[in-house]
Amino acid sequence: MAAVMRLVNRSTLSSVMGQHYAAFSSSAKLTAAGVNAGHTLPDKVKIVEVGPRDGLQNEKTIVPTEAKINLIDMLSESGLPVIEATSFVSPKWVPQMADQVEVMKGISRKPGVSYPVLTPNLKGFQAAVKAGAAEVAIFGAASELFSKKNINCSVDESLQRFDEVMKAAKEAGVPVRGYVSCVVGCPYEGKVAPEKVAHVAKRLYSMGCYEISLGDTIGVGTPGSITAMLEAVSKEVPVSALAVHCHDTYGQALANILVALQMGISVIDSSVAGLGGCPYAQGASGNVATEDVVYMLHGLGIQTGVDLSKLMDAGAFICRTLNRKTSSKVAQATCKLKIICGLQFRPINTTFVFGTCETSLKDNNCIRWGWKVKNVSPWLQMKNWSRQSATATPAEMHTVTQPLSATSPNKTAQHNRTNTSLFTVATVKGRKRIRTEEAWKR
Amino acid sequence: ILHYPDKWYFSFCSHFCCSLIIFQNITGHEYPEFVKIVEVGPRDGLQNEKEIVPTGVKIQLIDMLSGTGLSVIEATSFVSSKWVPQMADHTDVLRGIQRAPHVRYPVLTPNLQGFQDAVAAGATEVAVFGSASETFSKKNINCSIDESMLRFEEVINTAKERQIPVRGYVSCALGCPHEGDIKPSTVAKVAKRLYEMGCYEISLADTIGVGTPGSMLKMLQGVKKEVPINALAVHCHDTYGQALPNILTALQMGVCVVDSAVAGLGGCPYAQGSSGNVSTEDVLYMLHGMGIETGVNLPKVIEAGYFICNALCRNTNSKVAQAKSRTL
Repeated sequence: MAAVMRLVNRSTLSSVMGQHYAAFSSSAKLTAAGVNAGHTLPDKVKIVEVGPRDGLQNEKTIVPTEAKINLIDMLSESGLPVIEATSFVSPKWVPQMADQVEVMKGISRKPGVSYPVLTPNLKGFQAAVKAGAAEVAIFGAASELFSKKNINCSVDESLQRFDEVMKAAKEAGVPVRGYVSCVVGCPYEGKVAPEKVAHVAKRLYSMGCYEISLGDTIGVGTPGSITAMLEAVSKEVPVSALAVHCHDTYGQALANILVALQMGISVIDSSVAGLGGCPYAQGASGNVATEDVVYMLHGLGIQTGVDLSKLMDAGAFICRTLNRKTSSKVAQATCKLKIICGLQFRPINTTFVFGTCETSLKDNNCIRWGWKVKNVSPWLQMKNWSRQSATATPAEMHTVTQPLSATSPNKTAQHNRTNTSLFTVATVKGRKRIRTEEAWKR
Repeated sequence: ILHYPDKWYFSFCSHFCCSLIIFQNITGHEYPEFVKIVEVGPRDGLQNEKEIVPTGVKIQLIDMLSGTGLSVIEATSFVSSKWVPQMADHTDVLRGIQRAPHVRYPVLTPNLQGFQDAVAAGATEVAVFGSASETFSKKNINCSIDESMLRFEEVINTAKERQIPVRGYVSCALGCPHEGDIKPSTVAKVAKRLYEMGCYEISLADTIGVGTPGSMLKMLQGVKKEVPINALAVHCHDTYGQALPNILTALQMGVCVVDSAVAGLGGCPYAQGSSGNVSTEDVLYMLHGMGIETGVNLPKVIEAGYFICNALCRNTNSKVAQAKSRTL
């Protein structure tokens, strides 16, 4: 009977007279589903911005200290309440975080914003406090194999190491945040049992961590597995002390965050511009983009205190610095939506050349790309628009007839496209920008 | 007269008064046990791709998708090739595909002319597109919502005579690029109109992807007052990355039909360069991860996705496909 029902389900709605099936549906269950969908969500959610640490740590390009400081300052201005600034690990292992002390000392700390730093051991903790850290974070794993491969010791041994950090932190009055990685799946072990995650979370909480962030390190979680994991953990740690740290490697992050919110979680970790890839699926995305999370939360009427526009500016800045595209869909979409309006009135055959755009953030330009005229250095940020080429091109200028691929910036493709989305960005002589067309404004 | 293959299920089922849509409980939320995926890649996806795809490639894509377990694959669109050059080969595509048993191949028919061409080419199911926004309707198909409904009425009545099922779409269900927010009551009105005219299913489309779970919830609450929930489908765009949470919300509301496009084909014409349709692979990954059956083989869909992306010389928009291709 069940088998027949399944077959019926699959094809019932195919008939033009399928509407009759409405009479057979179970209205009681449908009502229940409707009620559950309107599950109470938190009024406020705290966003923990991990871009400057977890994000940058997984980026190949080493970012200059100044840029890191600027990023953190921009993020502070956007209203984020917690910004993970850096990591006091050995620069041997994580060269990106070698300038940890300079970063800590260089940032302008906004009142009311906390700047936790990662401290894998007592030495790191001491260096962090010396550099001015007022909050630290420690990492445990829910998977034994991951723990061994990542930090060369078992889960229990790692928690013992953190004991020292916890004691020192208590004495110094420094709050400690705990992370649990591989809460749903491990790149080596596969599925991770929710009870194991609960065990590690409970240990960290009883050791004194004020909050436990549950990380789906390889992004394999789906609403089903996340729910099961959170159910198990919330039996051991109060929901108000839990956070979720979802990776978007399989595109599941926002759906997972939604179910976490429905379960009472009100702290979300995310990374501006979705910085940080996944070291276990090279080229795939990693952290969920803060912009996309904030967009969803605001759409749900949940307060975050974050100014999305300023956040996107910070994201655009760091992507320019890293010479990469943003991983945030909101950032990609918002830019282009506005630009379309400006393009409608552009002439079809227009020469356009580019100089280095340096000040686009100030006037909220969405286009942030170009290259140095002499050296044809990489695009600052690629936009995938096609254009028709123009007539005469003055010397020292490069005419583009097709967007250059981000991976081969020195080649100029010569295709002609029929699509006529054109615009003029800037006319440049040498390296100096002499005119900018502001065809797009927020 | 086209004999509809599933009619015997209809009469068989009419003897049993039991729930068609079986729900399963995942900790406090009820989700359908089975979700039907409507694959719109070959039509909605390719229509929004700039590269004109050769007919042979379209046919091969549809044939590959037919072998994945998908039960509905939107094959092409019988619109004027002046407006949509990508779909100029609609007749050749429909005639060239190998129709798998138990798979349906609806085609878009904006008017009676298109419907007749579709039937002549062998179509056994059609779809019509309404809009919840007047401005969008005027700019998109050059007439008001009411005028478009009259056009569709012709199509639906003719389809009824020939016993061809008609699926209805309501675009801009969660927002319009011109009007901004759309009231759920407006969406409900259009959906109801299409349903009462005879569409067996109404797909509610978030055309510009601006919807969030909040607006999806409100919209569905409004629409299900007028149209039974099991006749509703959601067609979410991932332009703002909200598609999967929106789909999840719809599932929690009882919707069990989801539209998606292999490899997330099709950009958004209102946010150039941005993504459009949600990727079938990502939807499947989520549904299967939740224990919801779809009857679809994910690896085969990923393969079809790689095929069409190679043909289009573009990267897949599906994060699952990206991750799978790069996993160590």
